[in-house]
Amino acid sequence: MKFLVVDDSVTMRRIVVNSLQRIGFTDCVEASDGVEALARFDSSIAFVITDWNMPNMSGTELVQALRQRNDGRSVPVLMVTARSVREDIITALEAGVNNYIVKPFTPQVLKEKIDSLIVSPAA
Amino acid sequence: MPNERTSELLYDTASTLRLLDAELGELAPRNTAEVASALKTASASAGFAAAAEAEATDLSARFVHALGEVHAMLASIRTGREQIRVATTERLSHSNDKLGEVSSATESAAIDIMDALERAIANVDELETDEVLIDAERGNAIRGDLREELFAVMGHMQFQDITSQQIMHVQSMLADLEGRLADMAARFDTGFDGPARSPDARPMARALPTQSVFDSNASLADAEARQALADSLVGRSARGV
Repeated sequence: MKFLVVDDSVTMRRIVVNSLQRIGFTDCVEASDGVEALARFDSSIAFVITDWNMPNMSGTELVQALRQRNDGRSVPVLMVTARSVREDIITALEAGVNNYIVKPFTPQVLKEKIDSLIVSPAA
Repeated sequence: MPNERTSELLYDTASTLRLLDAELGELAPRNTAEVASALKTASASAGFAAAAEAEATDLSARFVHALGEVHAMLASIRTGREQIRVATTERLSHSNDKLGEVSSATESAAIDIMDALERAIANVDELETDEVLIDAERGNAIRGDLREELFAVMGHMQFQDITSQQIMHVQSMLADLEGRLADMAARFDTGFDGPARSPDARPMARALPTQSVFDSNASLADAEARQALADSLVGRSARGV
């Protein structure tokens, strides 16, 4: 299962990728913003993990762009962000995000959210 | 007799005419130069009065204009003073709070990392004991614990992402304050002696983080409660509530 990890922070990308490896997912592609993520996205990507606040294209804009593509319409998207205000979470869900993790997170929480989307993908 | 009387009358008339001529001579101008001079003096007096009146009108207009400028400047200063008051009391206070959060988050993460490293060192020490060296199962368990501790250290590094967003927020607020102060200073730049500062010196010209790359509410505090809120909203969304 191939993951696309999108975050402008190199530290966060390494933490997410290491956490994925820790829970058994070793195939990862990285991108530093939404624009790069769209360029790297293809049908081989089975799961997207994205930050919200990024230069050039935000995480919510990325999700909206993915949902307009045939190959990105149903891919599970997990947002991992520091934004935790109720209105922000609702905005992300309305944009097309399937699940939401608030930073800082633990590998256990990451595993739970991935499992919930793989076993029972949200609409 | 009539001849004598006639002669007397003619004499008196001639005397009277001479007196009258003398009086008229006193009243008449002495020459044309004096006449011209007198006319010029009179004309100059009238011109000065007109010029003085015009100058007084011009001075009044300038005074009114200057008064208007002073009034506008005072209003501008009052507005600027209020902006600075708001900026200093609210933005600097908020910046101070944010920097306090950065300090707190850094210390919290450092303590967590130190705790994890101390436990990892204890695991390494335990692995070298004779008791564990001969017990493979016990050794594997300790190595597992060691791996968990080292991985926890990596997780605590998330503080860097959080604190960098908090610092960017402070940068943004300080840049905003700097710009307001620069605008305020520009109001005192009369332009009489040229610009007081170069346009290039404007602080906002520097590269600063835009609002889109950081979250002003980023925090390490109450992570579990914030995750619970997210879980609740995701659950409601999935149920179509």
